[in-house]
Formats: sequence, C-alpha cells, structure tokens
Amino acid sequence: MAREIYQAIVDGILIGGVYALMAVGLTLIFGVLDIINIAQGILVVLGAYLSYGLAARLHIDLFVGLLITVPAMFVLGVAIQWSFIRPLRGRERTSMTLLVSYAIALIIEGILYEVAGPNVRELNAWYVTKSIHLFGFYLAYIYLFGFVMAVVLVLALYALLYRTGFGRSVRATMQDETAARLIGIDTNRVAALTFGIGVAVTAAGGMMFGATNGGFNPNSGYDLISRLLAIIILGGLGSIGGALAASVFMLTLQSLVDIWQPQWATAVFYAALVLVLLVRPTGFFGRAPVRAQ
Amino acid sequence: MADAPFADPPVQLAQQMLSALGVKTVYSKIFPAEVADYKAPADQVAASGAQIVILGSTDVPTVAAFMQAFEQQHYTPKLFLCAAGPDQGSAFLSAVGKGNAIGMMVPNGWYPGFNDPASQTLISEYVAKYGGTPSGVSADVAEAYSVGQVMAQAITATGGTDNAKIISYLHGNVTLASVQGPVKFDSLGENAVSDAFVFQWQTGDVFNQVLPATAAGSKTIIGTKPAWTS
Repeated sequence: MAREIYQAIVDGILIGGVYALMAVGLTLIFGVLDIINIAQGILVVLGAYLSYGLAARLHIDLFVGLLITVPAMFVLGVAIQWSFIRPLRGRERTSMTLLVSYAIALIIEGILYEVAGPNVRELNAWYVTKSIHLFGFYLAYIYLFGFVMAVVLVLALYALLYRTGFGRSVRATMQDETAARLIGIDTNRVAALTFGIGVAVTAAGGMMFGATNGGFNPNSGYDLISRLLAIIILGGLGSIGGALAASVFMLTLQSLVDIWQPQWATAVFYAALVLVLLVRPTGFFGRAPVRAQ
Repeated sequence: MADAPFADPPVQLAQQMLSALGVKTVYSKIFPAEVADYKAPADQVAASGAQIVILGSTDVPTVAAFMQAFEQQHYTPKLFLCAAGPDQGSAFLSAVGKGNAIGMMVPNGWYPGFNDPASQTLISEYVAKYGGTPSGVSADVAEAYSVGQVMAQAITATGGTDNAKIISYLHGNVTLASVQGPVKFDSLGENAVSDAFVFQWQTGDVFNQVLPATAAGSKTIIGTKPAWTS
C-alpha cells in the first residue's frame, strides 16, 4: 500500500504540473482584467492542435514547436482582447465578458471542427511514452519535462511581473486601474499584452494536454474549464504561484483518492476546494498577499 | 471501468464469467466517466500486474490514455479488452498507433468484415467516398446507418411519422433488416436477435472477429498482446 501511495503522490505532482501550465494563463488574465476567461478550455485545445499541426505536417518536435505556437497564441490573445474584451465597458462588463469569452470558445471550437474535423488526435514523440526508472518508479519523461516547464514558466512570469517595468505596470493595473491610468500607464496596452501573455502560456499547457490526455478533439475543452477554474480559485485568483501550488495539491489529492475510491475522485476535487475556501476564502495565495509583494 | 451505462455491463459480465472459471480479480474499480486524467488509475492497474485487463471505456481517449500510461510503466497485459474505443476504426488507429493497436480487443455485434451483402455495400461505398481501408471504418457508421434503415422501414410500414404508430410497430414482434443483421426489439427495446462477438486488431492493420472461436468468420486470436511499439 505504501508503494501505491508514493506512486499516487508522484503522479499527482507531475500531473499537477500539466494542469498548472493550463491554469496560469487563466489566473494571470483574471488578475489584471478581472474577467473569467471561459474560453481557456478551448484555447488549451487550440494549443494542442497547433502543436499537432507542426508535428504532423512539418515534423517539428513538440517542445521546439512551442517557439512557434507560443508567439502565435500571444498574437491571438492580443487580437481577442482588442477585438472582443476591450470594447466592453460599464457595470455589466464582468458578466458580459463571461458571455463574450463563451462566444469566443464557440467560434474557436467551430473553426477547429471545420479545419480539423471531429476525429481524436494525439500528440506523439519519443518522450511521450518513454519513462525513466527512478527511486523504484517509472517516471514518464513527458510529465518530468512538463513539470520542469511549468516551474520555469511560473518563475519567468514572476520575473516578468516583479523585475521589469512592464511588470510594474501590470501590478499597478492589478491594484487599481484608475490610479494606474492617472500615473500615465497605458492600461489598455497592459490589458492587451497581459491577455496575450495569458493565452501564450496556454499554448504550452495545450501541448502538454495533447500529449498526456490520451487524445483530443475540438470538444475536449469543456471538461477542462471547471477544473481549471477550481484550481485558480483555490490557488488564489490572480496568483501564478498559487495556480501551480493548487494544481499540485488538487491532482495529488485526486490521485490519492483514486487508490481507494476512484469514483469519488472528482467529487473530492471540488469538495477540497469548498473546504479550503471555508478556512481560507482567498485561496492559498489570495489577491492581497500576492499584491503586497 | 468508467461510471457509464454502456461501459459497465460487458465488464461486469466478463468478470462474472472469468471468476466462475477461477480467474482471480486483482483490481476492480469504477472511475467517473468525465474524469479528465486517467494516469493515476492506469498506474494503479499497472502496479497490480494483472495479466488480463478489461477496461470499461467509453471512447478512444480513455483507451489511449490507459495504453499510454501502461507503456510508460513498462507494463503490457497479455490480453487487453475494452468496452469501446478499438471499434472506432481509423480514429482508434491514429490515436494509439498501428503497432500498439495489435492485440487490442472489443466486444460488438458488427465489424467491417461482417459477411452481409448490405454491410459490404456500405463499406465499399464508404471507403470509396471517404478513403481509407475497410478496417478503418468505425462501428458508429454501421450503427448510425442501421438506425436510419430501421426508421425507414418503420415509416414505410406505418405510412407516416406518427410516433405512437412507429413505437407500436417496432414493438410488434416484427423483424427488420439492417447492415448489422436482423433487428427485433423485445419488451425492453433491446435487439433480441443480435449476435455478440469479440473483435481484435491484428497484424496488418486489420480488425478481425476472433471470438467465439468456433463462430463462422472468426480468425485465430492473438493470445498474448505484443509489447508496445512506440
């Protein structure tokens, strides 16, 4: 039994890295724009399709392909923010962004169905199915690489937010958009770039999703969004490190429950969210502590 | 097995039959059908070292995720049967790879090699229109086409689309024709005259009927699944 528990913990940590890659963009966008991007699930799937296209058509390695898909998704994110999110004003803005981002999801899903069809695709590379034997466990390279990438990306985003002028502008906008405008920050530009960055990092999450999920089609995003939302709420809305911590926590918990009662794994996933929020309403790294840094 | 009404019955029946033959169950768990990541339960199955895996799957991604996790764990069961997934033709092959597909089995009532003139016409016309090979045609194609055939016969017989008349007709002990073979609904709405077989992906990207071994059209089963090839 001890071995099963260790295996479940290892699985949870590694799978948590994958979920963190999918969730950091969502929490970053919320942190700056105060909107829940319902399209995050389909953007993950889009990232998977872009990686699939490069791998299948041009034989570009999945990780190397990120050098193309990440900038492409950044441009898409900026375009979405500029075209659909930025024009929304007034008191109904938050609720309207839910509808608009849902509409964006439907549009992207429709395009994917038209271009790629409904058949299930899977991302393949040598490291997707191969594993290394460490400490008595087979650890799949894809999860190891993905976890390292998640940590690096989180650190890079922290560096961007806390070590650059743009990051100061972002944090100022997160704290008070009106005050940020008053001191000369172009908050529209900050919002567009942040949305772009949030969507760009989702390309990495999409690649990992496509390589580890057993397959995907344009409909695969719907199961994801509720789990990603739970993760960013638990981590603390707007907290990038919180998204990583919450992903690892939730997926480890789920893996442990899988040992005894897998049918309860999903329920426990959300029950844990409720319990943690009862004790700590702002999640692990809620907005106030993050913004105080 | 997934918590799904179409995935569980064949698994539970197989478990009962195998238990009666003295086969010991080393792992039997139900997981939510909507679970987004199967690695943890798949790793538990691999750790059990079971010689036979009967997966109550609902679709290709579920099966592909288990296969991927098994390969990562350097674990290949001798027999690997799935409630659904391997019957999806080219969609299954493209997801798991042709080499890994060899030995994968699935129960069903129809396959592209089904010896029925109408079925063979459907297959040839389908391949002519969409390309690929006969083995690459998903069972969903025949199932959907059969629904249309049954409805067409019911509408013709009742002279219209009156729902009550069609229901009465279909439950009226009538035997209808379909590309999957004869259709005759019992009081539960199940096809009482359908046959059940087990099919297997075999070398050469072909999807063959293998069980019952004595049934007409059955090929020799691959009794030990080859090692993963990716």
